[in-house]
Amino acid sequence: MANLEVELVGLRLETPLIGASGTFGYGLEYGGLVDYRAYGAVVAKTVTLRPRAGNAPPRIADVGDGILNAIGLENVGIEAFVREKLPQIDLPCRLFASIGGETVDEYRQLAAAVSGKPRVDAIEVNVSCPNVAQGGMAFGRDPAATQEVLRAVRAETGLPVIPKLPPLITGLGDVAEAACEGGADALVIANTYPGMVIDIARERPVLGNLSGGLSGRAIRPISLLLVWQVVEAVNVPVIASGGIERAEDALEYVLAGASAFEIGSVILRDLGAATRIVAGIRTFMEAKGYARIDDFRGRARPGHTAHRGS
Amino acid sequence: MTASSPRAVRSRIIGSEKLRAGFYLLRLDAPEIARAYTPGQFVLLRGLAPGWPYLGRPFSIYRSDQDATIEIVYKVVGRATTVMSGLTEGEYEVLGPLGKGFALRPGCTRTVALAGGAGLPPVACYCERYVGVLDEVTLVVGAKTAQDLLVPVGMLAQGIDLRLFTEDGSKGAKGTVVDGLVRFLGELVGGARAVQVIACGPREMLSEVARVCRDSCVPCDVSVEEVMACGLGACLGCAVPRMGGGYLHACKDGPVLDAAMVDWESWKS
Repeated sequence: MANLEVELVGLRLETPLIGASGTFGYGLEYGGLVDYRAYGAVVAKTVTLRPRAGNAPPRIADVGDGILNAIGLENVGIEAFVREKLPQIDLPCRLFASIGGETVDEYRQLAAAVSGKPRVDAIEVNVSCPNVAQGGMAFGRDPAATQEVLRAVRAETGLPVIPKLPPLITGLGDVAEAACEGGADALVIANTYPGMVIDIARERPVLGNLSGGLSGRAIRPISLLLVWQVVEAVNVPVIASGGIERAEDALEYVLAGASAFEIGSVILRDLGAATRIVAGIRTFMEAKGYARIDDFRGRARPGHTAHRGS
Repeated sequence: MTASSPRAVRSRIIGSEKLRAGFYLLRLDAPEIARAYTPGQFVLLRGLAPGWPYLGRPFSIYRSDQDATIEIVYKVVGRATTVMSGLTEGEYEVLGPLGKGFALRPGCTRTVALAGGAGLPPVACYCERYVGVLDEVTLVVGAKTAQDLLVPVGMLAQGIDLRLFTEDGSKGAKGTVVDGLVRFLGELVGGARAVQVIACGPREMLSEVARVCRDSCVPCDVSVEEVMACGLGACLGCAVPRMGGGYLHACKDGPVLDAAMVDWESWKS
């Protein structure tokens, strides 16, 4: 029987499948409609120091092979997250908090606020939101700024620290390395791609924010290449994120060297996606005779150079 | 009104018919949803046919039949509804019932229900459900022309005071749904006490209805529409500007909202 457990940043995860931030709310909204036993972890909605109202609507555009979103980090703020949301979260998998700051000091304060909370197993550091005017991607596109954020967070917490990086930047490898030097325990590659759609009848951009972040199957081959490249560049586990909808998609990322993977947009169209993906991975492993994920992780690489364990 | 927990089901198409140019009725086998919904609640439908875009689409429930099937009425406006109009057999992924529906306000004995264009389904659903409960139900249905006018013919005999309006006067009275509301309020003897307005239709219409109701001190609930993804309050995609700042979410706070809670000025289409 294939075993899907993985060791990631010192945590045992039941499966390598992780629910991506922004698509699972605070881990409460789907109620019994999602079977979280298929999940290794869920990443809660990114929280900021103060509550944020988010962007003007429309915030979502369906582009056929994916979606553009410009939510704008609407969230209840760190105080309400810790006081009201966290105590209610009861999932049979790991919970990662996600934090987003406008300054290095905000990241530091946020890391301090979620540390030592019994439910939080790791911190995802969002340095890649494409839909906010301050912070977000402005950090993640700059190696020095990313490193500064990571150092500040690292100094504040004993929890595993996992930055989520932006995809469409020059020198992603440099940012990835800088994040690791700053103390990252793993990297998520990558957030959504900045994009736009225009309503030709109304002759203006569809989204209230004008642009948004593209996700879904449309981006998968591009993110796969980024994962391939970053796995080569760093010595920490890489968590893949980008257009995974089927077991086959996840397997591509694992064969490229990813230690785990996030699903996001697909949950918005199919609440049973994770169960289906995990079952498909199990079928693949049994057909190939693999007992564990590590048995085939990185096997698509010439010389099979994937990082071993964590 | 808070309803029972939503279900994710696969539903077979029982019927699909063209009502008039651009408007279709879809009947689905969905007993769990048919038994559980309240008027104004909606379902997210995702077609399993080729050509379907990415996300499901929200539709208010129009009516149900013997706790076995649900019906929705939709207008073809884009990719998803175009695919739907060509689907006469097969299945949909259905999530529902979702959101908050229309509630009877305490002390309310008369409702004037306003339906503009494709906004008829949730409003007609309300009328059908409460016609015997309320003392008086007036249903005002409006459209640009007779061609665009959806008429719930099956309800005429049920004691609903049905009033039709077209902007060009090609059917019913000449004017808009808002004219119908103004006329109704003008006919009231002894003020608007115990009257409740409900409405669904284009955003501009709802905004006008909200203004008239505010000026007349009549409570008004509207069923709103905004581009939506998860339908369950997780993704925060379907934001509706809230009076006084911030946002409501159509899927969870709505789709039925107190019209006074919406910042209509900020929510222009």
